[in-house]
Parts: sequence; C-alpha cells; structure tokens
Amino acid sequence: MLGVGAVVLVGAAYGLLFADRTDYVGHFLAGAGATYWLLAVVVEAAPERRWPVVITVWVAVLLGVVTEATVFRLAEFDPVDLANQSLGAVLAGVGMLDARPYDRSSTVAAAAGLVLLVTGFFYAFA
Amino acid sequence: MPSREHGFVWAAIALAVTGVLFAALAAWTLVARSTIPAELDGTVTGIELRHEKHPGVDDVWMISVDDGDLRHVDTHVADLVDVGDAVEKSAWDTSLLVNGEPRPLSLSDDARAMLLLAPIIAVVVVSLTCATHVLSRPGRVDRTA
Repeated sequence: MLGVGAVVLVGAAYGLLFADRTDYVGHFLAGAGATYWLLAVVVEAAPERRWPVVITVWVAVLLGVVTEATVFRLAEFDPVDLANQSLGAVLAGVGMLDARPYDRSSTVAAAAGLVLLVTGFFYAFA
Repeated sequence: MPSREHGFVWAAIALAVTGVLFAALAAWTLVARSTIPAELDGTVTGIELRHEKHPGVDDVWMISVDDGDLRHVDTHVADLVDVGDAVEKSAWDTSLLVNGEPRPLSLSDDARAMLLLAPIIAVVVVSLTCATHVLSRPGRVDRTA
C-alpha cells in the first residue's frame, strides 16, 4: 500500500509539473501498473526472495523498450517516454521488495496495477 | 550485518540505481533538445515536423545539420532556423549564431520541470525503500536471495 501511495504521489507531481503533457504521467502510471501485475505473479511464484523482484522490474523495463520501439513508436523512439514508464516500474518494485505471498501484497498489487494501467493508458492516449 | 539485511540492501540499491539512471535519462534528453549542450557548425539541411499522440501538444521537431543525422529539438529551436541557414555554436553556449546573428537559447519548461522532478523521484525511491523495510512486520523468515 505504501508503494501505491508513492506512485500516486509522484504521479500527482507529474500532473502538476507537466500539466500539458498528460502522456508523461500516462507512461509513468502505465509503467507502474504493468509492473505491479508482473510482481503480483512473481511474489506468489518466488516467495522469500528479493532479487526476483529486481529482475522482474528490469524485465518490465526491457518490455517497455520493445513496446516503445514497435507498437507505440509514432514520431520516434522517445527516451523520455521510456524513462517515465521505467521510473513507474522502479517505484512499483521498491514497494514490493518486502512483499510476501501471505500478506495480501499480491492482491493489492494486482488491483492497483489494473487501475494504474487503465489510468495510464487514458492519460497517455486521451 | 546479517545476510538478510544484505539481501535487502543490495536489491534496494539495484532498484535505486536503476531509478536514478532513468531520471537522469529523462532530464538529459529534455535538456539536449534545447541544443545548449551541443556543438553545432554547419548548414541546416532539413527541418521535419512529426506528429505524436496529441498533435499540436507533443509535436516532434527534427532538424539536420550537414551530416544528415536528424536531431530532436525544442519547438523554439526549430522556429529559429530555416533550411539553408548557417548555424554555429560551441557546446554549452546559450546563444546560437544563425547566419552570423546571435539567437538566444533556453531550456524548455519541460526540461526545467524534469530537472526539478528527477531529484524528487530519487528522494521518494530512497524514502520508500527505508519505509518499506522499517514497516515490514518483525519475525519474518529469511528471504535473502
């Protein structure tokens, strides 16, 4: 829950500082949301470990590179979009470093991930 | 330091470094679009406008100077030049010579905002790491990776 709060806090900062660039906060929230989904599975599948969380974040970053270079590439491959979504992924990972399968972290991560992903897509493309 | 703490610290450091690198990438990319860090000396051979998701808001201006390599620049930089103009500046100069006439360069609002946001994110990452660890319940099993 603390991690989700941090994502919302930084998302609000994006909204305030980049009022005209809603795609920035959109990429940030979508990056966090998608990573929360991956982490919800990983925490259940690889309990009592922390490095799988880190590796999952890096995998999410790489998936972001691939999607930015292909399906979401419009005018150019934008490093700022990549950075924004990767920062969301990192914050999601930090919040899940101490997560355990039996502490409802995965449930919270899955629910928050869905909301953040949908909200992120809305801001990125609306 | 117990091995469990080592496991947490190194994993947290790995994520924090990843976050700092991407915050730096975002800030540097936006600063570079002002062309202030760049050295330029040549003739503008192309100016291209590309549309992104929100035409008129996130338009991408690309210019090429002699070598043909396109570089993404801020809108106000693209407004300063036309194809065929001679441009010259040293790295980190805040003035661009266009056909011998100096034109001022400045950071975009986005670049200034990212230079403010990047350290904020770094502080949030470190604070969240500490808070997550401190608030985790005592008596948990060893989870060292």
